Amino acid sequence: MIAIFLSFSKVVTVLSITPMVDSYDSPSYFDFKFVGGVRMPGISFIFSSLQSYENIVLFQSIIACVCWTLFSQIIFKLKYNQYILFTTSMLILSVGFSNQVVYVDGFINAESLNISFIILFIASCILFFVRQTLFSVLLCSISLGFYASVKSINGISIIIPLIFFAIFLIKKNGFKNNLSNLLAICILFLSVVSIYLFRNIDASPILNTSALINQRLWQIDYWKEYTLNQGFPIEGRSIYVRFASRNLGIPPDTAVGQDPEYKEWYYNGGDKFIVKFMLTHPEYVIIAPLALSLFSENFDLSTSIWGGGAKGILNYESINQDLAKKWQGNAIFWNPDRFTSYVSFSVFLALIGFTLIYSRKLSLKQKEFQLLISLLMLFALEISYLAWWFGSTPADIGRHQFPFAVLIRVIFILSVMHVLQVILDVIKVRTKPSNLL
Amino acid sequence: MLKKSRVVNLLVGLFLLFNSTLIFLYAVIGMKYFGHKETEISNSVVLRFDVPTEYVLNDSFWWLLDGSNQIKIVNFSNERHYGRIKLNISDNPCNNVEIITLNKTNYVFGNQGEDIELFHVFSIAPYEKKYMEIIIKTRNQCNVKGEDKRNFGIRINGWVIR
Repeated sequence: MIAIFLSFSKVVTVLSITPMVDSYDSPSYFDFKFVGGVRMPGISFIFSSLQSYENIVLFQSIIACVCWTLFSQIIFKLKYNQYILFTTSMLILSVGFSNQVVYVDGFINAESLNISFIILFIASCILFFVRQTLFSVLLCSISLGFYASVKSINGISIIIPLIFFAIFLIKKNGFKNNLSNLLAICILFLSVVSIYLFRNIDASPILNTSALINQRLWQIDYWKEYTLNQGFPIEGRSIYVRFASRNLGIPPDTAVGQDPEYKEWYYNGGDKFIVKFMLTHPEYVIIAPLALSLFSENFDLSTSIWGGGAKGILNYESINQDLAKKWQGNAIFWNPDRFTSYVSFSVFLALIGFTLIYSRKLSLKQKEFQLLISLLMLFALEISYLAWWFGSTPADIGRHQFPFAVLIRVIFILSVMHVLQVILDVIKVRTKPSNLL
Repeated sequence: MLKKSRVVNLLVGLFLLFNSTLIFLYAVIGMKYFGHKETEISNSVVLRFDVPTEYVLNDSFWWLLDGSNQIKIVNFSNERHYGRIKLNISDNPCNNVEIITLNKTNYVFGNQGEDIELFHVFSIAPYEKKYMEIIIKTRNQCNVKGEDKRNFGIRINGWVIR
């Protein structure tokens, strides 16, 4: 009832606002091509079919309501104390219907559907964990399929969950029954299709490359040296500095992207620069996303995945947009104060960590749930790392790391539920009459 | 399988505990104790005037009128900032400003035609908008010829926040 009430209120609120459009990004979502488009076919098919901004915003918001509501209900399938499950369900709804998550529903881009399908995937994982039925296998596959079809980076990031499912299949069932065969077919099909689509995406990362070089790599001497040795034109830097120092009509990255020298470099091997750089700089791949500040004092924690995860997507500009203003915030999970958000985020991570380390007096099912939390956490880190490597410059780290931020909060809630149940079980054992005697 | 999963859980758990400790220390010791800021005050906190911005040769200035004037301080960042606002001001064309009151401090112009500086120490919460009041008292009306009916107080030539 609470979820239905929240969903109804949200849809009414979303209908009352003007959809938010990014004049650079949004138009590309309407150009549907199954292979070789700028955007993944799933999202461009939906947007080009719905056509109007109002329909898209309404659609996104309904899908978000369905996914969060479904997730909050699937929780009750777990064999935990009913009060704990009710609290968990309420906490899930409080995240799903907070202004940070609701805000993305009003935007014409892939973020809303991306978050919704991640939530649908987590819900299907819990269903799969409770019982491996045909329905749970299908829901997992469908949610992963939807997820992979909204953002190009998702086409690659579904590989880890698919590997988990494959390992599960081999270890637990082999290929002995119909369910296993269906799961195997789904894994194979999704892997092939998503990698094929990802490889054929025509989203030219020309601006991303210049942004990463100018905003990140240029700050560290030996990364800068490598970049120059790879032929990056010095003009690309001076244009960036000139356009960043004052408002000259276009963003600095766009200005660099239009420079003939930079373009020539980019189309003659510069398009593979980031991948080459990553292959030769393992410290960038492994440590920099966690603590870029270790490499240069020009950076602090806000430029790491933790900074993006703690902060959320709203900033001064977006917090004053209609949708964010009309909807309730959630200071427990999304504190607007930077210091408090770091402290609370560290508590979220610590509790998840503690949940994974503690193993005494756990039942078999609880140990399996612990593994589920662990795998979800690895999935969260994977999408966060991928977003950071290929984007997440200081200007857009909040948006790039938002799926990670949502996932951490959801995993934290599941960990709280798990810890409370373990404590309850310990109390029950200790207060048993036989133990008291 | 559970033995292997125990290793995975332990590794992920330790990784998270280690990082959560670092984030906590960074926030509590770095930000709270040593006052480290991730956003610069000069890029995050700005002044907004209710009066129009005027220009002479690309230099902007604002006329505040006789009586009470409100200047809005806006914090665009999600960090609390403490700082000092410095306003560079000139007398009106009639040179008749008697007293300027900012934050219970009174200022007067010294030599005729000389600019003075006003200071205001402030603290502002994340995303907060707050007002500071400047009360200007002139000896008599100061109007200019023509359509402009404003009773001029002081001219703000520029401001700095540090």
